[in-house]
Amino acid sequence: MEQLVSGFSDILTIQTLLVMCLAITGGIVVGTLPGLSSVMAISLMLPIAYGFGPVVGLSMLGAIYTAALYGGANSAILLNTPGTPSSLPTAFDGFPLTKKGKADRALYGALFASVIGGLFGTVVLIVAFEPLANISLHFGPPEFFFLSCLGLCAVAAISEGQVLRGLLSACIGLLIALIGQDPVSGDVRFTFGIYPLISGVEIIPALLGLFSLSQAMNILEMKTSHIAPYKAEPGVIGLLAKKMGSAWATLLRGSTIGSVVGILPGAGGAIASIIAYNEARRTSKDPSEFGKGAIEGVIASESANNAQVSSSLVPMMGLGIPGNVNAAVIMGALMSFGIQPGMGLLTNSSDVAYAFMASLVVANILLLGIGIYMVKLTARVLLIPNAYLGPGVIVLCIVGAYAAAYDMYGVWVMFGTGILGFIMLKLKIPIGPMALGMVLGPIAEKGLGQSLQMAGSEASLLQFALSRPISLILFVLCVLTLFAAIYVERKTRQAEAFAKGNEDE
Amino acid sequence: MTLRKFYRLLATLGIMAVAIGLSNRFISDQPAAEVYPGKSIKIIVPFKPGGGSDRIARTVNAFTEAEFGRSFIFQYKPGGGGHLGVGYLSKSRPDGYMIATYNTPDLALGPLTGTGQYDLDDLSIIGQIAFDPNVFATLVNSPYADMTAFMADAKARPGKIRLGIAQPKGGTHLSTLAMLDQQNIDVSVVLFAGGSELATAVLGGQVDVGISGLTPFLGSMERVKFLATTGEARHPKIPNTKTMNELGIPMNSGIGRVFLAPSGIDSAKLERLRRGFRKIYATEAFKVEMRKIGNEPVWLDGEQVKANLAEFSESAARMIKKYGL
Repeated sequence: MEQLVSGFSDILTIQTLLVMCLAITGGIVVGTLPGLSSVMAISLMLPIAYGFGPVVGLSMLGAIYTAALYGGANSAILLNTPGTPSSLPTAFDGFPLTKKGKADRALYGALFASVIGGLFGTVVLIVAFEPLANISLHFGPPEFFFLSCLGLCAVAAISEGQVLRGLLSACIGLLIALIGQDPVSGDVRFTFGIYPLISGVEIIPALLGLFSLSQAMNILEMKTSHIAPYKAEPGVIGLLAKKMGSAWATLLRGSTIGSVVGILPGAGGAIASIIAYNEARRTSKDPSEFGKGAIEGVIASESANNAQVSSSLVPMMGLGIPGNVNAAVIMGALMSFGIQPGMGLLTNSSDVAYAFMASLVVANILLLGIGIYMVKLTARVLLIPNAYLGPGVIVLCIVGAYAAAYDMYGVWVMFGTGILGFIMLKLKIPIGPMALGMVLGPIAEKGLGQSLQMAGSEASLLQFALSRPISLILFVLCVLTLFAAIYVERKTRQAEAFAKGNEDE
Repeated sequence: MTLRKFYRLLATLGIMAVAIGLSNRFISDQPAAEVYPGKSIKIIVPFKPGGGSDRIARTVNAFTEAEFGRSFIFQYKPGGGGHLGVGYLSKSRPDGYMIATYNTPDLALGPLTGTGQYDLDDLSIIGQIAFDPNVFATLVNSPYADMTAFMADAKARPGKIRLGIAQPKGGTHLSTLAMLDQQNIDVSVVLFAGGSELATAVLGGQVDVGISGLTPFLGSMERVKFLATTGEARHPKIPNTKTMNELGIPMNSGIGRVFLAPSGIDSAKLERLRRGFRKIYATEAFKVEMRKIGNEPVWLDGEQVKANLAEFSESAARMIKKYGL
């Protein structure tokens, strides 16, 4: 506790706060612009972080990470173009809200949920990163396989009313995910002789194409002059503050799911937010509202998304093993400052460790203040006439796709998936499940492949499967998710039939 | 604006553009006996940011301004286990302003397995700046007291022991297969994407023993024990762990960190790069920084690296054929 207090006193200096404010503003911008990622921003700022020294440098990197992951919500809500896989489910309800002219509500809702989720995840990190890192080790390949299956089951669940189309879309995503190197054997497959495909269809350019480019084409086709009506809603902040109170269960659930999934190295934010979204929908009094503009959907997705930011640092700080690329870059910075993250962190460098964790708390609080101000500006995107907005988005798509790997290859991927996305839009096939299939497919495949290799040393596959309680639980959850989806669909159908019956009378 | 005025404006703009273009030409042509490097050198890191190669290149980069006048510009080109980025370098303009970092012996494996679209002759090797031997790691409470105990158990229970290896089709994978083959040992091999993933699996008990570099374990040294290291000498961080050679099992595998240029590079420029990197390597401060991030600086001249790779390619080709990789 004392160390934490001294950590805060290290952070609360004019210089650090100023650097963090700039980092958060920059992070929000990077996160909001489709195609620019937190990893890009963090690695770009590394040399500057080195110049600042450990405390200020790490606070800066942590602030960028926090802000950029939140920023992804803005574009998802305003333009239906999630820039990162983890803000995918935010678009499911965020964009319908924008369409209804309630963009302000979705934007502030996402901000508040992000901050609350972020603080929750940071508290988890501070309180228990050492024991939690050890718990994360119980997740081996079989558990990752079933966890990503759980994410895929959620896809079926959210495509309510159009389950077949949702599944079709998810399968296309899974098929595309097969392109490239086999994650376990390293064999190259389905590249059709196009060499750059060896690294698979890059996810960032693909998301840009699927969501942003297709949406830009859609915008240009619209007969209306603007994408959606927008008028600043007075008193919306107070309204949402109240909403946060009444939606505490959704927030708590989202933050918990985000923190738990975040801790697992390699799972990724997309699994966290899709499971949180699905849970919010399943437990909601009115699941049929989801997908049509339920603020709870935005809250669930964003609280999970930002809870996993801090908790994704758990394995890095507790074991010295980075759970994702962001954590890897931050870990590189720590090591360059002469600090070895891992089991000795709190004995050898507790001052920097606590200052860094304190800075994540401060970053989330600053994010609230700066975010409220920035929302006013970002919402103005809706005031841009479609004739300018469409081409603008296309330019951003090309820049983002190129920047993803400094290569024209990304741009071709973006155009290819963009046209595919546009066709799917026209055929009314949802794009979200496909993107999730692309993100979750490789995790599931790797988990399965490694599990089979591991089972090679056991007498039988069944024996191996039964020897792992966590994967059994996850398997049961998968089955429950599917049955719950069928049940919810039945219920809504009955309700609809009932309503129709009433009308007829 | 009348149409004529518009044309006049266009013409003026055109002339200005040509003038600027020409003046640029003159300016860039002027230093004919050019000072190399006259601008920032771009470096390709063929992995995602934050990995071992990235950290090493960034550590080198802390000294490039003093040596070359400017810092490097980093470009990340992940894919195909790093072979994608190396292939990109081999096709880039050999003007000395594009280099890359990569590992040996994986550099030799790209052409052999078909995952790399380059030939070793397409590349000039500047030099090796560090060498990380492999370690066989297991949990601290594992039943194996040392490597000999592990090998004996593996022989007694063929196929029943899980050995984790980082990087499918990578150098470590092949060297380990060769060793197992030579020692007539049959284990269940589980392949992991990289060192971090492998370390997680060892710590979580998903595999009985794992082989990778030492760095991923630096944060959990109290929890693991090392049965043996590869390489010619013992690892300075774990001086009590015997080398495989000491145990009478020849295995010199490990990851050499090398810097590359396209082969068409002007020989004076290549010399300049080699001299510069060697000088950075020789700085005491650089060695301190490298040890901070857990890597052991070991210099090898580019030509020597190339000779070693040629030798490795021969035995690797046999393994690839035998295991159908």
